[in-house]
Amino acid sequence: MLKEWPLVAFTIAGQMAAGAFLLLFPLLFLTPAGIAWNAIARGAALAVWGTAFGLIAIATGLSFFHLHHPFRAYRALANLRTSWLSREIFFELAFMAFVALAFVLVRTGHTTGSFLRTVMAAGAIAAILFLVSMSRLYGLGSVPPWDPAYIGMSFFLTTMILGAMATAWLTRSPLGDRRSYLSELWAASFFFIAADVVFAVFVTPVYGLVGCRPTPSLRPPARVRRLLHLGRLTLLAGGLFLIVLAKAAEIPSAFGGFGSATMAVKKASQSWPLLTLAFLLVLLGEVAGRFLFYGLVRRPGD
Amino acid sequence: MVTQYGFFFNAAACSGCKACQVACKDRNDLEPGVLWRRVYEVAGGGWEKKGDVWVPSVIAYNISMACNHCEKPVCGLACPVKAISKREDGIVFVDTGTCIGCRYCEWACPYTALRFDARTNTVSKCHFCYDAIDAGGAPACVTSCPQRALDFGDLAELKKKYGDVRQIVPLPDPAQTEPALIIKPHRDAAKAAERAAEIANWEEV
Repeated sequence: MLKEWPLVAFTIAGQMAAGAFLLLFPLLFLTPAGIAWNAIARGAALAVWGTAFGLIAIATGLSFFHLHHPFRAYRALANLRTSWLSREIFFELAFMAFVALAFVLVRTGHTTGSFLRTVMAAGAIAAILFLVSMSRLYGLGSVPPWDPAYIGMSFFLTTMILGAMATAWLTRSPLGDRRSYLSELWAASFFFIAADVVFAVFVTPVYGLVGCRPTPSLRPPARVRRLLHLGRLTLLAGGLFLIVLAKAAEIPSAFGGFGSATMAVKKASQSWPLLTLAFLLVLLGEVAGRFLFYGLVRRPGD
Repeated sequence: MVTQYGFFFNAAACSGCKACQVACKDRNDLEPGVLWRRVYEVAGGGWEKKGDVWVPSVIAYNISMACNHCEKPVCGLACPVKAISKREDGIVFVDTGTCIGCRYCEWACPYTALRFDARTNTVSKCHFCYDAIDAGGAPACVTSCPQRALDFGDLAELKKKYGDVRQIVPLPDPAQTEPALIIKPHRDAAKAAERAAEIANWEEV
C-alpha cells in the first residue's frame, strides 16, 4: 500500500490542479476582456494557473517513480485506442499545456480577444476528460473493491474539495474585493467535505473497507489499514470544524453599528490561519483516504 | 491452422501435487516468488446437522491456473505502451523490451496472471511455451502433469472434446475476458459458493 505513494501523489495533485482550474473557470470565463482582467482576474488567474501548472508538473515528475523503466515512458501514449491509462496521460499533458498557454497569455497581457477564452475552454475540457479517464482507469471489473460508481464519486468529491479550498486559499488577496466568490468557494468546500464525511461513514464501509471483497477471487485479500479510515474521518471532520469556526468569527456583531464592516474585514484576515489549518487537515485526510484506496487491492506476492 | 490456443484443466483429476508449477518455473528459469502457473487450494464447509447427527460438509479441490490467453485480453487492452500483444495463434505475449513496468496490467487481469519480475523490472507471464509449440511440442505444465489433468490445443477442438465450462469458484466471470480455458469441474465445485469456499494457500500463490 505504501509502495503506491507516487500514484497517491499523482492522483491527489492532479485532482487538486484540475479542481482549482475548473472552479475558477466560471469567474474568469465570464470576466469581460480588457481592463477588468487587469484589476481582478489577472492576479487570481496567475495565482491559480501557476499553482495548477506547478502541481501537475510535480505530479508528472513523481509519477515516474512508480515506473520500473522510466526512460521508456515516452511510449505511454501508444495505446490511446483502448487504454484508459494512455488517455489519462494524454489528457493530463493536454491540460498542462493549456494551463501553461493561458498563464503565458495573461502574464504577457494578451487578455483581449477570444483566443484566451478558447484556451481556457480547451483547458477545462481537458481537465474534465483527465478526471474522467482517471476514474475509468481505476473502475476495473477485475478489481471488485474498485467499484466504478464508488471510485467516480470518491474522485469527484476529492477534486471538488481540494480544488475549492486551494482556489479560495490562493485567491484570498487577488479576490479581496470579490469576497462573494471567496465565500462561495468556502461554502462549496464545506458542502463537499460534509458530503465526503457522509460518504466515508455510510458508503465506504460497504465498498471501500469491510465489504470490499464481495466474492471469492484469485486476488489475495487486502490488508486494509482501518486506522487510515478513522484518521481520514477525523481529519475531514477537523477541517470542517475549523471552517465553521473561521467563518463564525467573520460574522459582524449584531450590535456592531458603524464599525461592523471594518471589523468584519479585520476578522476575515484573522480567520486565514484557521482556514489554512483546515486546508492542511483536509489535504492530509484526502491523502489518508487515497492510501486506503490503494490498500484495498493487494498484488500477489506483496 | 490454430487460431486460438487454449488450456483444458480437469479439476476432478488434479491432486494438487504442483508438478505443473515446478515444471513451469524450471523451464522458464523463474525467480523465487515469480509463478506463471499456480495451484490454488480451494477449501470450505465445516459441519452440518442432518437430523440429530452432525456430519462433515468439508469441500476441497485444486485449481491449476496460468495465463488463459484470453480471447479478449484486458491486460493488452489496458497496457499504455502496447507491450502485450496476441499472436495469430491466440498466444498472449509480453514484450519485456517495451514494457515500462507500470504494473497496471496486474490490476487489469482478473486471473492475476501477470507477475512482476525483479530481474527484468517488467511484468511477465506464461507464454504457452511458444518455442515448444512452434517446434511441435507441448507446454511444460501439460507434459509434467502425472494425473494428465492438463491438456492444450485449439480452443474449438477443446470445446468439442471437453465441453464449455469456463468458471468454477473462485474464478471470475468469464465474460470479462473470454478466457481460452475449459474446465472439468470437481464434484465439490457446485457446492463451493454456498459453503463459502476460499483459497487456502495464499502464501504459496
